[in-house]
Amino acid sequence: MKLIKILFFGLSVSLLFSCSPSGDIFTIPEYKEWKKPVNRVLDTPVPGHGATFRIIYANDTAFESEIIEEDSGRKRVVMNEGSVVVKEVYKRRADINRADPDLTIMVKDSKSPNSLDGWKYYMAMPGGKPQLITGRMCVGCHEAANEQHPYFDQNKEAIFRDYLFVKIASEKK
Amino acid sequence: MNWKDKFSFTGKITFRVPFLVFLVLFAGIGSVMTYYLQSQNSTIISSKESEIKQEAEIIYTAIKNNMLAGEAPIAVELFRDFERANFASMIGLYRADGETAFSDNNTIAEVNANINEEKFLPKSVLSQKRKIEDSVFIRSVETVSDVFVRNVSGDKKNIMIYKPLLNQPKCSGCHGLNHVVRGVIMISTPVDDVYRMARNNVIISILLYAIVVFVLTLAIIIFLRKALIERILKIGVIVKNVGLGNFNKKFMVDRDDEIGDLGYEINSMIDGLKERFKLSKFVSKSTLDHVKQDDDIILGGEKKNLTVLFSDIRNFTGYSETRDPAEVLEMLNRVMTLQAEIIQKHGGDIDKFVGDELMAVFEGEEMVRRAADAALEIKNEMKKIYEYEKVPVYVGIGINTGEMIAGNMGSKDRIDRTVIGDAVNLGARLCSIAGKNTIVVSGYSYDYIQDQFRLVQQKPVKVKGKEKAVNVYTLQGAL
Repeated sequence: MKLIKILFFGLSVSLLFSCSPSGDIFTIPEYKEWKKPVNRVLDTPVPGHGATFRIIYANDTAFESEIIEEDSGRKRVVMNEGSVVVKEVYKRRADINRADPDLTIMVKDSKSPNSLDGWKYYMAMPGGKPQLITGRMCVGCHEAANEQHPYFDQNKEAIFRDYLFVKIASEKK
Repeated sequence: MNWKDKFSFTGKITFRVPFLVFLVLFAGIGSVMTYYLQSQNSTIISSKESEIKQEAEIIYTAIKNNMLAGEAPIAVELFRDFERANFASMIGLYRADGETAFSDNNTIAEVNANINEEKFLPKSVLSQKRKIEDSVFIRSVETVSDVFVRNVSGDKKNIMIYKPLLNQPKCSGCHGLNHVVRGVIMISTPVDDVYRMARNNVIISILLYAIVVFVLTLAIIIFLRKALIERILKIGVIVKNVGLGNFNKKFMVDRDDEIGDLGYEINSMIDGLKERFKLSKFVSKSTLDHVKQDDDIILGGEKKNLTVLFSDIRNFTGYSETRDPAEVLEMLNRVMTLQAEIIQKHGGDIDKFVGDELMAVFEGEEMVRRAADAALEIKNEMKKIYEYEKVPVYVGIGINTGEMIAGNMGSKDRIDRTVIGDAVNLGARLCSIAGKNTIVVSGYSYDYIQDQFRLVQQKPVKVKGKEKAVNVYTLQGAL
């Protein structure tokens, strides 16, 4: 009887850990009340997202991040740890605020072994759990944010933007 | 010889101690060495791998930045430069479908179509056309992930890194939006030297390990043999000799350690045993038996039915008058030794020697017959040896059987174990009346052996303490 109890306990523990193979547990935040870095629907087709319609939200921690000036005089964006950026992706404009969107989420967590250049990337289908993206699918494109690019302000100074195409951090006061 | 006998040496300390030492060293040093070797080799290999990954990252960044504006010749030349700089043995760029990049002008045609302008002119083919179709490449494209492959099982060992080049925003303007992965950079670096170094490490470590274990085992075994085993074996030999009655061998206390102390104690014990052994010659067998049986030697005795044999040298005065004392003593000792040996052979116990007289006691089954046999043998031997000497030597023997007091007599500090009583006195009296080489047996003894020996009745003897005269017989021989 004791052996069965031990086996049952062992099985329960192994199942618990098998649900989060990398130990990464993330739930989609209540982001709808968050501020938007860009107050319009983004409709420029981009690789990875295709011809979709996108709305971006970021939490307060992200907005509290600063653009610092290095000793060389060159500017650099440093997003705060815990910054979360949520991108709603709609296939049709008509779906906005009517249908549940796909979500792509960036979480700044430099110390996590799952982070790619400081960020963890998640993708969630409507009603589904967020899936951690471990390949270079997301970061491979977002690394272009740190050089001149064709979106928004185009990062003409080619400063390090901490992998974000949109400007969320503000100048240090 | 069965297997137990064959392997009986494994139970010996001379085998077990060295074997244990070897085992401890083998396992102990072996496990430590294995751990450090594994750890060192793993560090060598992992540091080489991380170095290669870092190089791959540099190459990837450099290639990515040189892919702008479709300047294929610049990119291709860059690959060759990297190869020449020995960053890696081989760098290849493949399209997402596995075809070698720059092997045709298809991409230029696609770009011109996307931008709706003949901006880029066809170029001469820069790379040989071939297609990569391995599963690792396909996985890299499908998962949009870096894939790291260790190809270290064959003779040619190398590490391969597949890094997908993404269709970044700066690329998608010309290349379109219908794909995420533009291509894959494959970097292959040989690692034979690293694995050779790791293998050499293993060989050198094993050699060192074998030498260290061998030398240490040998040193410890030699030390143990010298300091412990050989000395214990020497003590064993000495103890064995003591068991055989040799008290002259002693342990040479050469070191002031525990074995030295043991040797010292053994030597003291041998001295004690030697002393006791010498003393045992001065006492009778019954005394020795008594000492063996009783822890406390106390005065007192018990009544027992025993047979006494007295033997006295006849004509001793005549013999001693014509010889010097040394010769007399020498003869006396020879006769006594002869008699003592015969008596002991027949199970008798020499109680004491008094001058030229010997007193022996027989006890137990057929004690009278054994005493008679001993007496006849003494008589015959004496005849054989001394009857025809210039001055012959004879013995007179008396035998009596009866109840006697056997026990410890004397003072509390000096005790004799002997027999006393009228029956003993009668034995002595019979000896005194026995003629040359004559055996006189009392009527009490006669009753026991009359069917086994030829006995001739003599005139009864009047003995002190007895009203009636005692019947006596002379023992002639066995029936």
